[in-house]
Amino acid sequence: MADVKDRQNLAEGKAAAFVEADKTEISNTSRQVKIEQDVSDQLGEEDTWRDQLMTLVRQNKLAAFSAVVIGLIILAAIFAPVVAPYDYLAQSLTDRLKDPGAAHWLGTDELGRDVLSRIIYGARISLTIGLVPTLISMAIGTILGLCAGFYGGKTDFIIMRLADVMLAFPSLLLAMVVMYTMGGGLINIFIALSLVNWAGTARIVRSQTLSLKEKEFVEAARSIGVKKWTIMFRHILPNCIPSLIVLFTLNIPSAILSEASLSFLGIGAQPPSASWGLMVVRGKKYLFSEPWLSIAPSVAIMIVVLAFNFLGDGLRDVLDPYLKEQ
Amino acid sequence: MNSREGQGPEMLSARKVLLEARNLVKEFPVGGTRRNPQVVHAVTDVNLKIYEGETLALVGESGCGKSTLGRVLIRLLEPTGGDILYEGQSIAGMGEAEFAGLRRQMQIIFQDPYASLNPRMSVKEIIGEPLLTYGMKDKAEREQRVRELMREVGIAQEFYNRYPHQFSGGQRQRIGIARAIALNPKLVICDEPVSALDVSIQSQVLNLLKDLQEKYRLTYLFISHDLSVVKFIADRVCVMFLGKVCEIGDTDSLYEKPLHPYTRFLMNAIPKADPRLRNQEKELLSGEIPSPVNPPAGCRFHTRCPYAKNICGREEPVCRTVGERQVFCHFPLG
Amino acid sequence: MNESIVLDIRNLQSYFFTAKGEVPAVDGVSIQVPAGKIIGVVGESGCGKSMTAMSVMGLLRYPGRVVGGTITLDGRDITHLSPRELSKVRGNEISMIFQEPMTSLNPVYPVGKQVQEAILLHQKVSKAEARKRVVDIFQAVGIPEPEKRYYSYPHQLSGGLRQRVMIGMAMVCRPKVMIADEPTTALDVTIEAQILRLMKQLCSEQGTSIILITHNMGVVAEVCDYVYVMYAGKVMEQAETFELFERTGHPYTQGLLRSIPKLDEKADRLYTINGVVPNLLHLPEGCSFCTRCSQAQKRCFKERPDLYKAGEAHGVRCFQYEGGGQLDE
Repeated sequence: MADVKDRQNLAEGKAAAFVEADKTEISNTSRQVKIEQDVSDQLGEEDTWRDQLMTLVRQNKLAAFSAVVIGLIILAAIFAPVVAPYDYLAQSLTDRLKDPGAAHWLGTDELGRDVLSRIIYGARISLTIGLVPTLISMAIGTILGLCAGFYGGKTDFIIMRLADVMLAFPSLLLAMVVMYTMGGGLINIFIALSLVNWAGTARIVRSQTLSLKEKEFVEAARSIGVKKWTIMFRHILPNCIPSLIVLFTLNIPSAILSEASLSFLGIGAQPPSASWGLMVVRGKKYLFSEPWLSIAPSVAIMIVVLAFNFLGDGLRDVLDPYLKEQ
Repeated sequence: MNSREGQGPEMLSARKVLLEARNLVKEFPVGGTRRNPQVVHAVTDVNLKIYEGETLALVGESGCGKSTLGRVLIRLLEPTGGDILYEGQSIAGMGEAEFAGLRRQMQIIFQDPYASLNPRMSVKEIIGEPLLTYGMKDKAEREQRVRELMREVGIAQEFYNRYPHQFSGGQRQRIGIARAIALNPKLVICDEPVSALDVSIQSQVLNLLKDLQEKYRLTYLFISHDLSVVKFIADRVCVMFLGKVCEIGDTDSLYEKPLHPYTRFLMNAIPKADPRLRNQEKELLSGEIPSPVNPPAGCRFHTRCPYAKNICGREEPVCRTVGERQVFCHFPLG
Repeated sequence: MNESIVLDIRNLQSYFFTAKGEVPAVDGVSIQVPAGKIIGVVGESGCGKSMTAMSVMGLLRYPGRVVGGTITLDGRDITHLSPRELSKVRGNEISMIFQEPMTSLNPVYPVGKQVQEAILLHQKVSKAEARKRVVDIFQAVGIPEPEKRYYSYPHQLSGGLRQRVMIGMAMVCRPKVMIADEPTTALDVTIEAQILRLMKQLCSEQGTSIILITHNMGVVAEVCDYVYVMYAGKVMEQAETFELFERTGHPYTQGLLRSIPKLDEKADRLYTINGVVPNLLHLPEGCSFCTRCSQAQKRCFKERPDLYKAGEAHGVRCFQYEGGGQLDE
């Protein structure tokens, strides 16, 4: 109930803000955009993707910085054996629960394993979990969204009601149900998260397909006699790609968070693998005596999630004209 | 190609009809309740003949159904009722597979040069797409034909690999034209092809269309709201108002002496590029265009027509033939 | 021109600062608007006519900026006003209407309320008085049933009626100057004719000057008293309307006029101006039209022409008229 009320308040607030805004300002922004368009049309060359990348770097330093951070983390994950100071599984009973220091920058855990090394190796799990299920779920969502938008009618109805059902479920709960019935483990996390997350993508792709389908270049393709599937994949899908890239970068952190939550609840990655969620829960016991055991992996999660979110926002500003117009 | 001159009625009727619309109807559902569904009467009961090699212009204001009619005629939209004959053969109810062979003979050029080209395809892909669709799989052969088409419409060869956003509006429209003629069609629907262009570019494109028609013996259905452009390019003109035909006739005689009041008001309303004509107290139409959801009964123009009498609100005017011209009015002018 | 000048734009320069360089979208434009006249600014897309209007209204945003020149409204320099002072002038003494009225109206408010707000913003009158004025102005701009239309939302009105509402809103404070940027381009011809007639009538009845920005030579011929022809950020030719159409000076204007298909002429081919509008970043060294000009001499490619006098209040930016001396304004 509270949620509904909040949303109402928000909506009213927005309406009020809209009213207060100087009306001439509103119309003039669009006017200005048009003039800029005229000017850039006349310049004859518009943004290529390389220009867009430069715009991103210039306009949104935070996003560019996030991209660098993500790049570094990916490199660290790939070259973990080289980068990590210790083996992430090597136990040493003499070095249990050491404070952070010169030998172990982030200390050691209750089995004497180096926390920094475990975090670096943990990045492998988190990033895989972030990438693979997101890719799978987005592929499913894209195809279903395309079909729903393009064919309309019954196809649309069935797919979108299915998506509604998916979205109505708390996704973590759904993933938990899947994990309980199939058991823990990485592969099952992939499956659970892929199944859960396609609906959002499907919705966005569908709405874009609906508007693209009415564009004259699609009509032109139809007048030539291009087959429906070819139209879908040659004309509509490529024009969805900018939004899909944005969506992709924004979906990754939520997948990473889901994995961490599942692992925290004990139904995700299983020990002794070095998952960040798992590390947080294992450190819980020592929260007051050796807080770094929980804090270090939490901070790692936070950094990755924030970096992806910043990058996603930045990309959206540059790439996604649909969201830009709003 | 002097189709406009020296052709008596017997000459015209001897010419081959390429496309014919018979009692063509197109309605779009726009909601309403189930018991009382509302439809937009976009095209109502249109009869039309397009002769081979001519340019027939469809003229009217926005919402008069001219673009819809153009699309229905080549089955980009399915007609709600009536029949379409292409070279004497009914194509209205034809299945997709059967129609596929005829599709390549009817192409369309669009109004908006920005929306009509896929921004993610290069010029070679855009112009090559129709060729690829109809089985020209060989890359070298396709490239040769695409380059030939580019030369034909006046796009420099070095732009072969460029993307639409690197072109100006006029150049994009040329690319759209190249795509439309790639398959050697017989009929080309030109849907306001120059109305989005600047004046100096407009004349270039109009000349190009005329040249291509001559060279490839194309038949044009030229949809436009601009009567001066129509005067330049069309052999015959069909004036539409709110989904119905008002008047069809030979361009010269129609411009000289409009028979339907609407045609005359349309011509009066065009701002003419000559200040000496401005002070003639010309009659203007008052009022707005009625809604196509609830079009007026009887003659659809009667609510705006200063000459309307009682009968105009009651009965639909039937087609009157005056020489080679047709007019749908109870009280034609002149 | 002996009439009193209401709006005086002198040597206006507005540039866009883009990553690829400075774009001189408006480059030294001078326009004088006498009281109660309709001034036409005509040109193709990207010639800088809309930029000029935005500059005058103080509406340019980053990356565009006014970099030079003065704008004087009724003897007062408004070039460097603060946003606060400017918003007092805007809508009150000078107002603007746009091509697509739908984007300029707030969709969640009745149109009458929006016009009323415009009055309350600028003038100290009671709400009831403001409402009465709204109904009056609706009547004046030819909106049928003004009392009822007061409560209509923008989407309930047709394009023509919306444009009338916009004109009403622009006129309601009796501004000295109204800038109309392509006001009829989105409308049908029969509606366009009505709106043009309305603007002409308002101009003569209320004494408001109008700057009419358009690409349509027909519209210019129909309503304007004086015309400026713009190309690539510069005024190429300026003259009284009759003079311009009868003794067209500049090759560009000649080309424009000749390339329009005529209703009373039969032609097999249309006259064309070759080429396309030049890239503003790489303008030719000499006259900006030289690359497309059919009468260009060697000199045109090297030197930039000034506005030369070609007749009474008739200026042409072409060396052919150099003998007339510079146009003094």
